Amino acid sequence: MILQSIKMALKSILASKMRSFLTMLGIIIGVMALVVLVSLVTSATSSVASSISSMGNDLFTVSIRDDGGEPIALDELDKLIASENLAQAAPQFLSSASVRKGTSSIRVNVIGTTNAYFNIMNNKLAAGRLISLPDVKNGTHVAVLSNEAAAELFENVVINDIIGRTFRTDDMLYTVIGVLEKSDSVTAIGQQSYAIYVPFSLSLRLAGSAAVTNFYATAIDNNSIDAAEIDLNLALLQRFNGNTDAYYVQSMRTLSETLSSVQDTFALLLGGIAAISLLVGGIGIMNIMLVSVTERTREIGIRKAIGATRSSIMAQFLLEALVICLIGCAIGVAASAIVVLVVNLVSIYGSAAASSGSVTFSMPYSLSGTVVLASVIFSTLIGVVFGLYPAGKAARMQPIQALRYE
Amino acid sequence: MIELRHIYKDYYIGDSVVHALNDVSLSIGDGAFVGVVGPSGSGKSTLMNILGILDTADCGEYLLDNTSVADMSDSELAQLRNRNIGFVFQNFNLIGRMSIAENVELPLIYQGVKLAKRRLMVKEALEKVGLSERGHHTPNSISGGQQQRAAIARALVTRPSLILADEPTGNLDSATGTEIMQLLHELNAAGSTIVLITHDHNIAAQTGHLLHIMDGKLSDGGAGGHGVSGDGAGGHGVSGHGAAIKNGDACGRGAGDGAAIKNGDVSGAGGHGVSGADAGGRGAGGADADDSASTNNEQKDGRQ
Repeated sequence: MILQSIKMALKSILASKMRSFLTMLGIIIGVMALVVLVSLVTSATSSVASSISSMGNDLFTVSIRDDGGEPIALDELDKLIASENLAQAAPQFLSSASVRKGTSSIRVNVIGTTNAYFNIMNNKLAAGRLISLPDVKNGTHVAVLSNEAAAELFENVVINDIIGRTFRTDDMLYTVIGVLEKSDSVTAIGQQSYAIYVPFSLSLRLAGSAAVTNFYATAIDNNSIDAAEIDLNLALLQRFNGNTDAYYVQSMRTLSETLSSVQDTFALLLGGIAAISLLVGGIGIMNIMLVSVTERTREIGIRKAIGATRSSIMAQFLLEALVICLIGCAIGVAASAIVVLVVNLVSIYGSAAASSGSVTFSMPYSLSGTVVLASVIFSTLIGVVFGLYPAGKAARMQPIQALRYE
Repeated sequence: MIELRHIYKDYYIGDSVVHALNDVSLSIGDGAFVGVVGPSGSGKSTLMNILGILDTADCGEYLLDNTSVADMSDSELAQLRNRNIGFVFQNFNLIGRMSIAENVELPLIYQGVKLAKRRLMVKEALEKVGLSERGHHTPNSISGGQQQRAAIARALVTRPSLILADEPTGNLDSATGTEIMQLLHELNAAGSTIVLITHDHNIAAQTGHLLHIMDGKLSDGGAGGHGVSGDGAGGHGVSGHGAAIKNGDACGRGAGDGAAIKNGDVSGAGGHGVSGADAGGRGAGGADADDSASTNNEQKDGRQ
């Protein structure tokens, strides 16, 4: 019986293709809006969120805003992370420089730091060695290159052969001591890919400064993040004699939590807007179904005369609304998949044109399964809710009145 | 076997009441071919609707194959229509976007007959009306006569105990009309009970038994004038019913509804179909006509 009703529904949908399509259009657009928007937002923010969490939730960023005439020296860091909840600390001093390469020059970010930095950032060596304690002590002119910087500065040179080679910035000659593996966490915190790492003391000397203004610290494990944050704050408070404005501690966990809540809000907001358009589509369906019921009054009368029960008339029109919604939903999901694919191609092509380097063909955006499922459920609901009234109207018709209808 | 007992049906147009059916009783035996003839507005369509259970009587009893339809639910009525009654309408009432075969198949679908059996029954029904070759056509692409044949095929495909034909020849030219009548006679000869409602005396005369309806009252015209089929009049017979059922029981409102006028009607009409005993019962009931009439009105309001 249900199968028969579905057949009947399909038949009457196919009987007026243009009208059915226009009716579906509301659902198609609604589903597309829902699926595409939510998929894009989810993909975009989740890639940022995942690179942040790849650096670890146990990371703290401390910036010193006002040292009150008592700058923090490098060897003070160990004292600040003396608590058993804190593991390591590494200073960071950011500056930039141009590296001469033939006739042109390349902008690089120079990060002055210590050995612990690579550990904290999860940076692995591809070749050579990292910045050592003596390097920092002596301020030797050595540099560890990020993978991208190495590829840019020493084109077509095997990584192992880069070690020991030199390059020149405006005022300094560096010897390459190590090259890092590729890492995506670097871009996440806003640093350029062309990063070179030099001993902390060297970068300070170049800048004519002597103080630690930025450093990273990590908690001993994920369970002690809260305790570690308190201890770190306490230590800094003590160091700056109770001046809370002197420093700022940011927990990576807070950051990623904030980010994921922003992502959720965005998805919800866009999903809500899309859901409204879906709702409007549903109203369109109800409208057309009402017209259709009126138009087919005589047919309903005939069906009732030859033995259709209320429930079979009800089922017929309800299924018609439902089938329209689900076909619309299917078309909408298919169209969304195409749109997401196009967005992927455009963004890949765009980034390929920008970097002109090696292009990895990974799709940055993907169709979110959850939202596809949600759109199917939502479409079904809309079909039922907005089909119910017209179907009920059809089912309640009195056969003689319906038969008499012209 | 179809039996109507003291059927009343009123319509309200504004404040005025139209007695579409006024104490109609009749019984139709299996295999009869009964014509109901009357001018427009006589109540024949209402009778058809009641017989076809498309509408229910205000009061009175309708027994279809010894089952009273009075207390049936909406879906039970639909099933009864589906199994026991086949309709043939003046304007054919085929569903335009379905093929002839699909139209004929529809009652079987509602009956829940399996596909293979359905195909067979549809084929059989179309053969009976001579439309085997037209099954895949849509109603619009065949002639009116063929459409009516298709409608007849749809009516008989469920092998109903009653085929109700409402002006089946009304939209057809006389030659085609004759063909359709011929077909109905064939079906009747094969055992179908047929009630044909018409305003056309020539058509009505071709039935086995004739009932006249006028102003909601039924009277027995005896066997059809030309006696095309004597079958109905002879064997099974049709009778205007006059059983002395207590009027108050059959219809709570009848007693108060101006029995005196009713009496007049009866005598005016020649006493057909309404027995003296019945009329007498009404007369007695009329004693407190005022009281009952007011009750009656309340009941009517309640029904509306």
